[in-house]
Order: sequence, then structure tokens, then C-alpha cells
Amino acid sequence: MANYYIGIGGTGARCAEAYIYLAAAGIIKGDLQLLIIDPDANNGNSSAVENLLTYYTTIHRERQPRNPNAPRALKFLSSILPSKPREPVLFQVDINNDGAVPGLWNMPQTNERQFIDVVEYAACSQKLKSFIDLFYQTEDLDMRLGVGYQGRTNVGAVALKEDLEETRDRERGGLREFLVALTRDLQNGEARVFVTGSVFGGTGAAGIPTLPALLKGLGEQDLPANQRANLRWGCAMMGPYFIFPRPNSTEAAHLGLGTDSTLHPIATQAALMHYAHTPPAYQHVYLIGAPFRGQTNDANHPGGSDQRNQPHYAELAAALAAWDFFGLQSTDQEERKLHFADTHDNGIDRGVTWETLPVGVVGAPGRRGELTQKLIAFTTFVYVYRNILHNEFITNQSYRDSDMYKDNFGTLSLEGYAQEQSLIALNAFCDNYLSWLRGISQTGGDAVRTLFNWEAFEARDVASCELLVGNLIRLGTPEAPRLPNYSRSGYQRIMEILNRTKLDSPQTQSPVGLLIYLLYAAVYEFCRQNYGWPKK
Amino acid sequence: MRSNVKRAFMLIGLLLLCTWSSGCQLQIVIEESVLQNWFLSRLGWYALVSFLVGVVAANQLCRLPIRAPLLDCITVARKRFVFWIVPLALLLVPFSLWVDALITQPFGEGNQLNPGNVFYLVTLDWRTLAIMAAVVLVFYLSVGVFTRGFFGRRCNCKYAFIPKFKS
Repeated sequence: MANYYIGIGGTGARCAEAYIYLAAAGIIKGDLQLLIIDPDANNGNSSAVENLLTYYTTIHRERQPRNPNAPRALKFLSSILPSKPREPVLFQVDINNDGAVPGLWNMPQTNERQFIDVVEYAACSQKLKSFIDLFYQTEDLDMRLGVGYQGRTNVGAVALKEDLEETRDRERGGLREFLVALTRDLQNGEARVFVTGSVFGGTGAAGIPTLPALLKGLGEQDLPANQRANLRWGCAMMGPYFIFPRPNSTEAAHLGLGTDSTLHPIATQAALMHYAHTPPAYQHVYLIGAPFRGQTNDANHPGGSDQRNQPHYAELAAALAAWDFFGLQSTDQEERKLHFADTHDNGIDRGVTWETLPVGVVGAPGRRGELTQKLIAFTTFVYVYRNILHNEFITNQSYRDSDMYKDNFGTLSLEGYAQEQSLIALNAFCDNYLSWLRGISQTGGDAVRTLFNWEAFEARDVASCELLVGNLIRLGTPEAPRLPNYSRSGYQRIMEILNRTKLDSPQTQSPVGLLIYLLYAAVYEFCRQNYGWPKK
Repeated sequence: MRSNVKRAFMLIGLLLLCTWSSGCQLQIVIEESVLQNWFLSRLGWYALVSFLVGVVAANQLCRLPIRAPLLDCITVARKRFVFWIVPLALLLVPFSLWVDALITQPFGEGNQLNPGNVFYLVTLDWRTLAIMAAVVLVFYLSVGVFTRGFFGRRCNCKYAFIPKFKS
């Protein structure tokens, strides 16, 4: 049974990006149906997620070994004491049936389309027109929908519902496939849908209450009542957490509240008051914001391809909220819970650290440790591949003489067009992830200072990266209280472990999958030795 | 031709001339069986020593660091192996045999040869070449077997000398 994740609007897309990284790192488990709903089809944030999904799917298709066994030194011992296999960790979540289902809601939106067309204003009776005029200004009615709702929640709430209903049965529209999968899963038991979006903007604020209402509106033949009872809703409501420059005075006249970040707190207050009076049908609501709002864009882009905001740690918190929601033991349909977390301890703000990252209320021991270790190991993997190995793999094929390759690859080969394309996708994914981390360090400011050793992520040349790979965690934090064991020879140690890793047989037909498996196994073991993690 | 190379050729020429002239004047009777036994014993000793040096060398080669962006240090290990074997086999073996023969004088009862004659009789003998070849072979096998086998589990270049070919 899959988990269902919907990101609404630009902010929802940014949170989905964080969630994909958690899935790639092996923190998220199970299959995932992910849908970005954004009427602004060319939005920079949504397009970035679409590209990321393409890379992810390419890498996920490269199957990694299942239950591989490392041979023992004495062969006869293998039959008596089989070694414990290490399951593959990275890129294991099947997102959207291996990319067969579109991840982006496909609503053909022309720039000429106006809100006045959505409500069919011209066809309305004079009485109804007067009624509509009470709620909408002329600018609202004349608003072109090509770049989304531009911060006008009152427009978005109506237009989005109309558009969603219109595309509910459209092939390859994204929503239809999403609902088909959901209703199929609901026949077998409980299914969970998690929605993320801003409550201060246009699309997110409009979509958050709309989505549960959309499913509620499905007829008995589409979703019978007994199956509807199996549906559980979770939501990350994103409060104000970023700023961007104000629009100039001529632009501002045409734009809604959401396009002026100084008004986000007021817009949030208004939205939350509305939700308090008419609560959307979410069992679990995670309210997320940031006390210090970093600038995530250099210019004011109300929509379109230029609206590509820098990432922020609040989006990571939203992804962790989804992780918590999907991991809940059980949820009752009548349950209503509001979750929030802060970074204060005895009145002192400790900032965003590995100890204060919200890991939820599930309470499973070791959950924080799992998050920390997997995220650090994944980051190290990405760092090594992107900054050190990739160019050698593509240009010089320097892996060919390595023990790792000769011992494990057998008849498999990393040479060939398909393998090269997969390695390029892996590199692009790693590049995105490192940029995402750098973005978090820039927008998070002092709050995220101790999460990583950020200087290491600025290094570009191979020699510097070789020195820094063992120092990705800031010294003096609980994760690295003293100098790491391989602070000067991290890369060498990783390669030593990699070259000594030997499997009985590849157990996969994918050389790239095998490479990812072996490299991650080596990197994880390196991190364990470097940072003194206990042996499992 | 560069002057230092020219000098080296001249030096070798002089050396050969010297040994040839001293060999011409050699009037004493060499007991061939004594010299043969001496060479055989040296063959054994040199093989043993080169085996032990090979173990030490293998240990050193196994500790070679893997530098980014490479995934192995095989090329570096092979270069270092050649760098070691040239002085060891080509220079140290003939020189040490010459010194050894000078001290032990393995030419029969009462025969005392000067350095030039010893050089002519021992160093330029084909059996010295055989010992050099044996040293190279034993050293190579010792390094190869120990990097591949005994130190293999902690070796960064285990396929450098006895390669494994990917099927």
C-alpha cells in the first residue's frame, strides 16, 4: 500500500523536494504516490521537482542487489553461519509507479484564461453577477490565471476547485491516476494522504481545504462510504518562513496579499482564523514556520519559471512531518491533532540541530538516530560521488582497475550509453541535493549553523573535497564532539572499504544499481567508523 | 647526447677495459667447482633475501593511499615496484656479489684476486645475471603473492602484480 503526498503551489513543491531527498536517503519507506498541484504549469519550483523526479526514477530503476551475502573468509563457514545481508537503502521508494504516473498536475492553462471565464461571469444572471461582485474586485475577475493565483486566495479557492474537478477524469492529468491508485488502496484498508502548502499564499491556501472537499465530493460509485472511512488526512500548513523583495508599485496593484512577504503573517492569521472556524478535514495538522525569515529569492516573481525559491529548513521540517504522519501506528477518523515543535530548551533557542529537528511523536526509540545517521551517510555519499568520482567515471573510467569493480561486477559493465545516462542522472540528483543543502545554509542563517560543516559544501576542487569528506559535520556538536577518526584521510578510507567489499554475486543486472549499493555500503561503514556510531 | 649520459658510457667503457686488461694478465688457476658452489649458495641466499625484501615491499605497497579522484592505487604501486627493482636487481646484486667475492675469495685454495679480477670473474659472469634474474623473479612473486593473498584483505593494490581479469 502506498503513501500519498500532495504538494500544493510553489511552497508545496518545495516541501515535496525535501521529501524526495528523504526518500532517496532511505529515511522514507514504502511506495509513494506524489502529486504537485500547481495551476502555474511553468512555475520554477514545480518544474524543479519534476526534473528531480525524473532523475530519481532513472536511478530507482537501476535495481540494487537484494539480500546480497558477503563471502566469509572460510568458505565452509558460509553454510553454517550465513553473513547478515545488508538491504539496499538509497533510492528504494517507488515513486509514482516508477515514473509511470505523472507527478505534476497537468491543467492546460492558457495565459489568456481569466477568472471571469472560470466563474462563467458573462453567462450569470444579473442577480448572481451582483452577488459575485460583492466578493471580487474587477482586478480579481480580470486576473489571468497563466501564472497561478498570484497570492489571491479568494480567486484560487474557487478556480482551483473548478480546475481540479474538471481534470478529475482526464487521462495523464495526474489527478485521475492519483485518485485511481488511492481508491484502489482504500479497498484494501487504510490509506493516508498528506498535503503540504502555504497558508499565506494563493494556491496553497486555496488548496489546503479544497482537497479533502474534492474527495468528499466524489460520488458513492467512485468512493463508497466504507472505503471513505479508511481515508486519513495529514497536512503541513506552512506559515511564514521566507521573504522576498516587495513588488514595485505598478505591479503591486494587480497582485494579491501573498506576493508581498511582509503581509504573510497577516495573511496566515486570517487563514488560520478561517480554518479555526471551519476546520478542513485533516486528522493531523503540522503547523510549520520559522522565527527568522530568510530571503529565498532575489526578485519578486508572483509566478512563472523565475519563481524558483531557495530552499529553507522549514521545508525539511514539513518533509519530516510527512514522515511522522505516515509512520503513525494508527489514526482514528475522528481524531484531530495539531502538531508543532520549536527549538527552544529552557528558554534558550538552540537553533536547528540534529537534536532539535522535529522527528515527530511516534516515539519509536532510535528514530532521531536513524534520521541523523541516514542523512549524514547520504550526504557523504552524494558528496563523494558528485564532487570526486563522477567526472572520473564518465571521462576516464578509472574504476576499471579497482578491486571493487573486478571483485563484484563479473560480466556487468559500467560502460555503455544506458549506464552513462544513469550515472549522469545520479550526478544531477546529487548536484541538486548539494545545492539544496547550500540553499538551506544560506536562508537558514545562524539557525542552521551547527547542522553541517557548511564550509565543506563550498569546496569545488577535488583536492579540497578529498580533505573535507570526513569533516561534513561541524566539530564540537554531539555528532562530532571531537576530531573525526578520518578527518584527514576520509576519501582514502572510503575507497579502502569500498575496494574490500565483496559480494558472493552481483544479484542484480544493473551495474549502476550495484555501484550505488557498494558505494553506499562503504560510505555508511566509513561514517560509522569516522563518527563513532555504534555497530548494528 | 647529454653530458652525464656520455660520462656514464665512458665510465662503463673504462671499467670494461680495466677488467679486460686485468683478465689478460690473470695467470692463476681458478677452481671452477669452488666458484660454482659459491654461486649456487649465493643463489639460495639471494633468493631468500629477495623473498624477505619482497614481503616488506608488499607490506609497504599495501599501505599506499588511494588519492582522489582515483578508486585505486595500482599505477602508483607498479611505478614504485619498478623504482625498487632497478636498484635492487641491477645495481645492488652485482655490487654485493663483487664485495662478497672480494671478501670470501671463492677461487680455490690460496688464490687472492684483486678487485678488477674479481669484477671480471664474478660480476661479469653469466651466473651473476642468473642470480639477478632470480632476484627479480622471487621479488616479483613475493610482492605479487603477498599483495594478492596474505595482505590482500587490507591491501589497496591487491591486483597490481598478479592481475585479475574481469570475466
